[in-house]
Amino acid sequence: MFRFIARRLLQVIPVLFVIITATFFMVRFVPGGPFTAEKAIPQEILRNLEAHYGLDQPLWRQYLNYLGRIARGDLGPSFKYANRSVNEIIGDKLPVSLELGGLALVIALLIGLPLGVLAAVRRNSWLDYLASTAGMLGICVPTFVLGPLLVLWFAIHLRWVNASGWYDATDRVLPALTLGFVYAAYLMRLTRGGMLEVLNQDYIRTARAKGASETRIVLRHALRGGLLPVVSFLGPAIAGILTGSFVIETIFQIPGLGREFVNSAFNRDYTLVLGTVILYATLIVACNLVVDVVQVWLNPKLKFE
Amino acid sequence: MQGAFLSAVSAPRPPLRLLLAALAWVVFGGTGCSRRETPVEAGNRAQILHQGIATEPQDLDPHMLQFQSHFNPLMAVYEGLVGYDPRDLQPTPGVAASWEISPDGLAYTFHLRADARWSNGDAVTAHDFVFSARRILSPALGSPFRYYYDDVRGAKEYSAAATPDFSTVGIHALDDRTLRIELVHPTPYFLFLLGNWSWYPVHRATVEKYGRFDQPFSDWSRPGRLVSNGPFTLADWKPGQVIIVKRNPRYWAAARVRLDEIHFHAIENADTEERAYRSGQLHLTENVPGSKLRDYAAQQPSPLVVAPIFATYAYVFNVTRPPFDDVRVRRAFSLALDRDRIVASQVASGIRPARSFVPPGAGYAYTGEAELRFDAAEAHRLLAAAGYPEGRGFPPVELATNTSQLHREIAEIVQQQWQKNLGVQVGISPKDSKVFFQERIRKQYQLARSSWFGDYPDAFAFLTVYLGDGGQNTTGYANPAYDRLALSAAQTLDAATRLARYRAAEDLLLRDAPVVPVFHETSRHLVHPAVRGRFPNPFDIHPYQGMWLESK
Repeated sequence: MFRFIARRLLQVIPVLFVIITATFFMVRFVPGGPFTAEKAIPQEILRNLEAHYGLDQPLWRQYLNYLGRIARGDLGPSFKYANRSVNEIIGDKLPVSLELGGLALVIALLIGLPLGVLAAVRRNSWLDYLASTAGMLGICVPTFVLGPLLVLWFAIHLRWVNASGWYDATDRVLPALTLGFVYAAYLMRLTRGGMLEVLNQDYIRTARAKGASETRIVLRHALRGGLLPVVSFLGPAIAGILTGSFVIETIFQIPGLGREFVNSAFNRDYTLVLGTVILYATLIVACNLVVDVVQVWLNPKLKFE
Repeated sequence: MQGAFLSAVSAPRPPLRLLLAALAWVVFGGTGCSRRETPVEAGNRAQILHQGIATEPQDLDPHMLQFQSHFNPLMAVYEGLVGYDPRDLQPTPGVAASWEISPDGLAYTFHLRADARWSNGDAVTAHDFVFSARRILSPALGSPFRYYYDDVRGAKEYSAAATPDFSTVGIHALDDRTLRIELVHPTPYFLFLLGNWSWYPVHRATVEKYGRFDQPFSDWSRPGRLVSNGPFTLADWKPGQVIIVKRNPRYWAAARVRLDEIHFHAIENADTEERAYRSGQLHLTENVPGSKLRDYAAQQPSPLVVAPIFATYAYVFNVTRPPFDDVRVRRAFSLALDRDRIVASQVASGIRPARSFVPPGAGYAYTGEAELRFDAAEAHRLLAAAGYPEGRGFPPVELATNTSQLHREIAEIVQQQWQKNLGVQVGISPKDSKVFFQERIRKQYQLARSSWFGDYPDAFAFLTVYLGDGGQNTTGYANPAYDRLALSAAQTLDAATRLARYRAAEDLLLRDAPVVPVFHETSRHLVHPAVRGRFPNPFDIHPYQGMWLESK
């Protein structure tokens, strides 16, 4: 197992290298630059600014400089927030996204998993129909509809919480619920599907024939296999949920990384684009690795190879 | 335990009832439960103003500002030589208690007040203003706003690095409390320029402590470091959320400042900002979503404050390429626009149809032969004369805009009118802002959206755009006769002659038609009724010195 993990970690390096290189050049070939604005700035000022950031050097040299920089763990200065470094921005905003994502994930798991299991066990009962309908709704109703609806009721009508911002604990409630519901719906459907498939397997019938209690069958035998599709979904989902959601952060004005990720591309904030892409890529690779390990643990048919 | 877990499910009724009860509690029962005091209500008690500012400034360095909306936090923490009267924006004493202007309008002498203080207790002196001018004009700093100094003798040359000697620039400290500024030519609106952020003083010791004085991006203006001289001081800055300023006890007129704190909320999305206003989080919004204008306008009393501003929404031609190198085609396109109809489609936004490029106001309004009008027959005739009768044979034309709901709506109406009145097919190509701006600057377009916001209350703020060598002239239009007229007008002190020359210049501009003005813009904000001492004005500038909160 350790060899497996070590080998996978080594594979990460070329993957990241390719991603960094591709992003570096792609973002440069997009028309417009960090200093392009509605009011044109005079040529000599533009030249000064470009010299300040080293943008006047040949692209290959800038690329090598950048690689040297990230090797030292320095993601460079941001163009949009000119006197702050990308490290600083990520350091500021990643914890916010982690908190929001973590809360949403807990909500999603607490709602999605039990509901999925129950729906599968009580197939075609009122509970199954209710859960499936809720799941379908959760997937179909986009966050930019659910979010403002929750705001309308709880912030504007009832005035229990603020409509936006990220100041105290109550500000966490609506965004975490909005984001959590969507993932809960996916989790519910995946859990239900996975469980249904496993519950029809021969080994479950064998367990029943041997007189195991229904609860033991579900929790001990079926759940382990039923969760396989959930786990492979959760890997990339966790990476996404933790690095922030552009939509949720925009709706609730949350100072997270998701907004920076998208806005940096619009702003042609080259260094911030690269910084967030590197972070996101690393997280995805890490989560996929964890998923692979967990899958082997859940599924006896798989081996570390 | 595990058995109970499942048997609870097999008996459906109790959980169903529980669920319904919970639902009912959330939906009906909670109404009177715990309605908190909103930030606005708390702010009204404690004189804390909550204002939305859309995007967050990169920092509070007045020489490196990016957007007009960032002026708000700067205005709270700095003060220039002169300020603005909140009602009509007439110059009021600021750091300068008084001033004299020489009879030829070329020399201004400012007498600084003795009690003007930086937030750390240092005296604000004439030398601070000289240092600040040297900083913003320095070529290395590369400030995008140094053109506010263009009328000062020697400023252009110094900032273009033609001379390294700052004493050639007409800004001198005669002593600690006397500042003399010399101009190249008379500039009637010069005092208005002095109220602009680019003329705010920066604290030399602080700037130099955290970097070179002309270093473009040093971090001297962060909370805990920034030393400023305005009615408020920077207390806190939560990136991506809020900038908090508190009353500055060392401000010379601190006794007159009534607000205790201002919280500037950087809420980028207009819909989110509007919801924040409705839930009692904001007193003031920077924007109002177009879809909500009508509803707010209908409310009694309405928090929606719409005011005409000194700005024109227009389309520009690339006059270096056919078909728009032909003035007849350009004029035909202008005449074929029914501006009243376009404006009627946006009633709630209060915009006014353009009859000229310079918006009426600032003591000037264009009237004359070239006044913009709708005349489909004349448009037809001109297009036919240019070789395209009924629009036949007209090459395919693209109208470039940046993506936005409003730009698309206007472009679609314009597209229809050109088709109906000229028989010409115009495609609309919405583009990402950066792509759009770059293509416009590089003249890689045929027809493009272009708005202009005047910097100062004078027609020249608009006419300067289409000077042959104007940095913002993206059309390729250059007419020496126009340049002569516009420049000579701007440098004339006598009001009547000046306005007459402006009229003549604009006459020429509208005839040559490198630009098709469509309508004059408005500012649109939601303003909580508790906000007092804030007055709509054409530059949307609202000083905080005289603002306060009062709920009935």
